[in-house]
Amino acid sequence: MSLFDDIVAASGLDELVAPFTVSRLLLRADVQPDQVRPEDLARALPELERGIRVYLGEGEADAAVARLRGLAG
Amino acid sequence: VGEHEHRVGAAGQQSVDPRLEVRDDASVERRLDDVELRVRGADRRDRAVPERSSRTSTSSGGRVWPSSASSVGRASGQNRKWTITAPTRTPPPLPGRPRGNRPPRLRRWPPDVGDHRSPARSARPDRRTRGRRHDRGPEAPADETISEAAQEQFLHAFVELLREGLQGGSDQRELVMETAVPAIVSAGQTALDLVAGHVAFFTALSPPLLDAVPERLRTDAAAWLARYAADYTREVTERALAAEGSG
Repeated sequence: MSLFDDIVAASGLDELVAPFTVSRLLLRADVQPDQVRPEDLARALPELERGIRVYLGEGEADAAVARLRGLAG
Repeated sequence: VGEHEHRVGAAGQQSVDPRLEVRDDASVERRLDDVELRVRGADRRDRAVPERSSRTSTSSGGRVWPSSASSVGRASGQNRKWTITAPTRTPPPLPGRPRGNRPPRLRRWPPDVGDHRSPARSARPDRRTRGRRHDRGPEAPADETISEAAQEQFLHAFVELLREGLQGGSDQRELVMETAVPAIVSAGQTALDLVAGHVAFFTALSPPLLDAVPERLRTDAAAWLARYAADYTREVTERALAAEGSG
């Protein structure tokens, strides 16, 4: 699995929207989804968090953000 | 009150109605919680009402309706189900009032409006038979394409979009349009499916939403919601058609 796949899985978003949403959010942070590295993920975390909170409730979003932070190192 | 969200009026004529300004109206929050829980089929008496500590406000400092939208969003339980029923051949139930105690399973987003297809349309090749449903397999019924988990997340997103719309922003809506619509189209729903579903969705959702608004504000709130629904549905349709064209 690529880091992108890990991010998608960690996002907590439903599999239907997760790849679209994560890709879009990474691009908003000027990160290429197919080339994302942990340091890129760290930079994109605020954007990812904002997007995830659109879809997820508070508890789920908090857990997802914690998982993403773990991936970012 | 924000400059954008409360400009309402019929036939596109905009006017600022100060009556839409609600300051610290806890009853609105309570009623919105009622709506949210009724929509989800939960018995609010079985659940703790989520704490409401924050209120939305605009740059001008005014409270906006619904001031509790964020708490409505937070109230989305993971295990609750929808109760806005997909109309069937029988008359639909009153919006927000589930049949019995068990909400129906909705498998589309937004809820389907039943067997509304014309024979001619039914005879056309269906996008859902084109093998775009990935791992769900070609035998999976079309209505199975949107999971309940996805619906739950879409509902949460929709509440957030309503809140954002009332505040005059569009970032979250843009994100949803860019992500959810192509995802739903890729799962097999057509633009026409989405139009039909959104009409049903807004029609069903409006009464319980408006019930939560103080009566003195209801007419203006209905006008705002109608405009929002029309604009939202149009944008969904445009995005879906674009996604179909690129699919």
